[in-house]
Amino acid sequence: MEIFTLAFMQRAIAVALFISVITPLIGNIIVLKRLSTIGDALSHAGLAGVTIGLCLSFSPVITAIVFSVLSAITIEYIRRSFPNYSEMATAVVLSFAVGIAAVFSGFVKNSAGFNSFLFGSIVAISNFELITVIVLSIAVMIIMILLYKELFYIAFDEEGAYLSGVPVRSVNLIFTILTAIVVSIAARTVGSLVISSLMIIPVACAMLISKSYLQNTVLSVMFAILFTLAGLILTAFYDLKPGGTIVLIGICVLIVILMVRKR
Amino acid sequence: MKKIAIIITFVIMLTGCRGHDMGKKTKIYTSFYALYDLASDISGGMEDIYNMVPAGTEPHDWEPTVQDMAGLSNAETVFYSGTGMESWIDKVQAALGDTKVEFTDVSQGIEKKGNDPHIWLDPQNAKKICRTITDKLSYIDVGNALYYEENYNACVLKLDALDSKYKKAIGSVPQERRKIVVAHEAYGYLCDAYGLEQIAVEGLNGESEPSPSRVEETVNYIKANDIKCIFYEELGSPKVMQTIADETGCKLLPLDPFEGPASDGEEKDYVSVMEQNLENIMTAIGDE
Repeated sequence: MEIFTLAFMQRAIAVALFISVITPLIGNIIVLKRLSTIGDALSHAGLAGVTIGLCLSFSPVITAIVFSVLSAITIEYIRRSFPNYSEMATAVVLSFAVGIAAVFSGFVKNSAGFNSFLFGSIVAISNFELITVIVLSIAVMIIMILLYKELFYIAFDEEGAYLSGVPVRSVNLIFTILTAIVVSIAARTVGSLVISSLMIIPVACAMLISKSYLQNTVLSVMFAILFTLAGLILTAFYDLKPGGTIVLIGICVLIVILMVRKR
Repeated sequence: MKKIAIIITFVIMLTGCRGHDMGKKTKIYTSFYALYDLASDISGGMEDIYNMVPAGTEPHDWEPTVQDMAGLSNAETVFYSGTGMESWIDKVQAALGDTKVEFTDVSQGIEKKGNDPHIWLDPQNAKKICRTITDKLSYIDVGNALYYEENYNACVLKLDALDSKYKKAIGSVPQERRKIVVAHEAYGYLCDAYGLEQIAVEGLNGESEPSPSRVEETVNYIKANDIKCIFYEELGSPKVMQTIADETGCKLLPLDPFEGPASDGEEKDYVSVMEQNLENIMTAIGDE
């Protein structure tokens, strides 16, 4: 039990709680917009941003965030051009980002420096990152509460929302930028695997049992907290990789719910 | 039966985890295998030494476990290369800011060459790394300072012997033939120490893919300079080097940058790896 008295572990638990609240909040809308792989696409956009930053000798952290935001806006644009095939948008941007990263990495002299901008792990979190995550989380929660109705409407029926006077474009833009910032910062803090899966798996679990949108949102947050905390506790006693363990716990829970529901 | 086996495995895992903490020895961590090997020689069994990143793991994919972090929080020191080998070092260091563990940069006193992290491939640098490790261990455990000094002296003897072996062997080869074709640009320190020249198909980053024009350039170079053997790395993918070898009809030999233990997990030591490297280099550039 003394492992939980160590400072790094306490920071890990704190960050796990905050990330578990905000990622499913965003994830719920993402899933309804048929953009489930956006987490993956945007964290790869971050990778492309880092390579570009290093090539132009510009701060890679900034270029990663900027590139993620631009990619998210591009996804939003492509999605509008193909209303019935919105998953194509994330695939296109994902390929673009990986292509950019592959070509530009040929010009990056120091590959170790390159990797250090991508490294993120839930058990290696500094005080500064903890504060960043808290501030970011509060901002996300405020925006999600303020735009709750609008986002809900748009996610289910974009056209209907537009016709009844919801400022669809601006709400979508705010949400898109928010998603990009959360993904690019969280990927560097807890790792891109954790962030892109926490957007989707808790939402999927919640969808199987919830009866309303609100219930779904609350349940998905609870599932996310369950996965991350269970993952951290399990890895505290067994020598397992925290990121992968958290994701696998989520998948196991999803499978169990699927099987129980079938009967 | 299966269930019992699973339960037993869990119990063993559990006791295994506990056993770790029972040891009274001081804990020392090293960031990768070359440092683990050198530190083990100096420590001579006085400390428990743990290696952090296992061989063949791309630092990008590597993540410390809770046990790693907990171990680090009550370790005395972490030896790391300080040359950008460890992309995770800044973050882990920041996350452990409030613990007693000290991070010891073993590259102090070594003249850096660009962005090449492979400083240890020059035996003279390996000596300097040993010096830093010896000083640190003697500081942590003053009582055994003499013992560490003895181990250091033994290491220096071995490293100097290795150094003169290299000088003698490579010195016998005319300057214009001292060219080695390698997979990635990891041998800058080794080459500078012995007047070798490396022609790398890929840059410092071992994971990228070379462009066709670069492959063609290398093929032409091999033909023009009448090179008989080219080198691949056991931990990397030999595909590109195999293609070039097929294209030019040269032999393919391994050259080990000593970043990890053998692929079967067997421990290797610095001197024997470097001696094997020398043997292979001589096969490539020496007389038939």
